[in-house]
Amino acid sequence: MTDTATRAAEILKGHRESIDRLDAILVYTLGERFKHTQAVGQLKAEHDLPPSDPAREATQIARLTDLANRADLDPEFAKKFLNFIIEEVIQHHKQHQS
Amino acid sequence: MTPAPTLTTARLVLRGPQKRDLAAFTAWMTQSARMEAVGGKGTERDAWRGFIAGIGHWQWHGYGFFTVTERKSGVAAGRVGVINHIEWPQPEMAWHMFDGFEGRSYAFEAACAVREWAGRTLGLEPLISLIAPTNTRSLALATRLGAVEERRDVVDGEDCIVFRHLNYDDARAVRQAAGAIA
Repeated sequence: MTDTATRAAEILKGHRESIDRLDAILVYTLGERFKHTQAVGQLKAEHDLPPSDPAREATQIARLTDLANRADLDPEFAKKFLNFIIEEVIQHHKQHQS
Repeated sequence: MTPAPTLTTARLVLRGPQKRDLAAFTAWMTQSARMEAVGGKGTERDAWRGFIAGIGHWQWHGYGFFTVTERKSGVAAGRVGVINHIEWPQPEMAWHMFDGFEGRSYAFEAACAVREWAGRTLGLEPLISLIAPTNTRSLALATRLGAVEERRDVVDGEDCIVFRHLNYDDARAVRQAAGAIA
């Protein structure tokens, strides 16, 4: 390999290692998020707490769009991705109930 | 008695109507001031007919009014579901809370679960709600659910505002459902 090719291969290796670490962060983050949503469900049922206030959903979506824009991430993708995760919470809860 | 599934939310269990619900339903129909918003109070005989019609509705359409019960007490708190009577323009999400069970966001919580089920499981298009222009509590609930006024109509001889609900997989609906169900 030429010097430039060797250098490129090193950079590529570095990116791949970063991606692997970021994947690990994503997996742990999701695990942590599900733990909290589960705890929220239990708290609500035990203490007779009402669903989130009406303004919360709208604020959450606006915040997400803003965050995505700042992070140079397609806001539509961010919305879809989070929807997918939240729907998983609903399905998980349903399976827990039945 | 009906093919209704059981939907569980944070504080409620929604199930098909059962014989033991007739008393609470009759009390609501014959005594509740809220009946003014849905055509006026009825007699015990009206309640009986309405109740068995509700069971028939489930058999006919595969959907109908769930009896909303408190998870903790098992007590019937109202009815929320999808109805589509013969003169109805489209399937409607409707809610009736019995006396003493208002003001706790129960109808909102149940409606989130019903919207999710109607869209995801039944595959229905976004539901409508037919609400009398004077029924301020229901108008507020429809708005809280993110439904928007589509048009005015006369259904079953009554003036009403036709609201269109969010699709079940709309970002806001999904968040509301997660907050209500989980």
